[in-house]
Amino acid sequence: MINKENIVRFDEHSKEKLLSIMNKSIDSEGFIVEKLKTTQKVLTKDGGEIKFTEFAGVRRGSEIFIKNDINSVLELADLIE
Amino acid sequence: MTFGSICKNILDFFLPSNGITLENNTFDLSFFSGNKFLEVKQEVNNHYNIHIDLDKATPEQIKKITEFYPQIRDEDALILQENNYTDLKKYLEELKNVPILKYFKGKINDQDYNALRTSVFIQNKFNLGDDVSLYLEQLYREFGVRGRNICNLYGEGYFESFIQPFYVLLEADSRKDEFLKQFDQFVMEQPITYFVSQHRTKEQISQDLFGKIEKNKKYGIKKLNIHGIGESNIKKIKSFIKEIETRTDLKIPSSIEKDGRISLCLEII
Repeated sequence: MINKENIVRFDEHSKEKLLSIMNKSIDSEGFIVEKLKTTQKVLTKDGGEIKFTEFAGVRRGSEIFIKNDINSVLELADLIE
Repeated sequence: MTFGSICKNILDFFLPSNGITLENNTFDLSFFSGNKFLEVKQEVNNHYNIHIDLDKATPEQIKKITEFYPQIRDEDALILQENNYTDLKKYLEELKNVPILKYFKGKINDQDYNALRTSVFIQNKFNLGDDVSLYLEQLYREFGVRGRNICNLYGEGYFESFIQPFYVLLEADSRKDEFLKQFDQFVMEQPITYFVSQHRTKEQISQDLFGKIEKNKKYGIKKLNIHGIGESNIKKIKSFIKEIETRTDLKIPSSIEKDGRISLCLEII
């Protein structure tokens, strides 16, 4: 579960630098990958790869990436306590 | 360590003489563009928001935030882009407990429930006059035709006026187990509803409707509700009304046009 007080927000402008802080980078095809192992793409809850343009956030649990998509965002509601 | 204390540690590191105590105060953190690398905003009495502009950070400051990051991650924090946060907040504060969502939780499958949840969100945005085209596209991409149909049915009030009463009826009759099959037919075959799509021409719509009318005649269904939103869809429906003017086997007992949408009840004799 996610405590509703523990939300870090960011704007579009900060996306790339924030990913770098998370030790992620973007590969030549636009996918988010581990900075130290660029062949390893990060994954969403459904096990899908995610492009930088689709990136909306991260939640814990081995870093689950969230897509910039209303369905993915509303799914988070079930995890907020 | 709590999320608040991590935020406070970040504040203390970058702004040591801040004079704000951890006790009796709450904190949150955001990465927004601003005038300075770090700004503290007191949102309410004892709540402080720490804004960091990563573009204004020095390499040393970035290095330090990178060191703080695992603590944030491990504290069950959710890191979310502002527009998505706004949508989530709206849903949690205003829509999560709408009666229809509470009612159908566990009564329809998870995929359909998720489509209904997104539909509730979209309809609320639509009612506020916001552009919902991107949300509709995302709904369709995730849930396909089924999701779009659920959204149309919810938007025209069928969940409250038809599907929920139908469930209640089956439940009272100890036939609850029949509901999912009937629901599936109602959503996918749409026997009594037709939603005019902006992507279909008036000729294609007439063809769809005449096909549906014939099918309903065959199965003894004497009703077809036609719905359209927006000027061009209203025109298409009006063109269809002209086409059936001379038909004696079709009647229009009611037609309501209001706020850029039209609902037409067609009686099949």
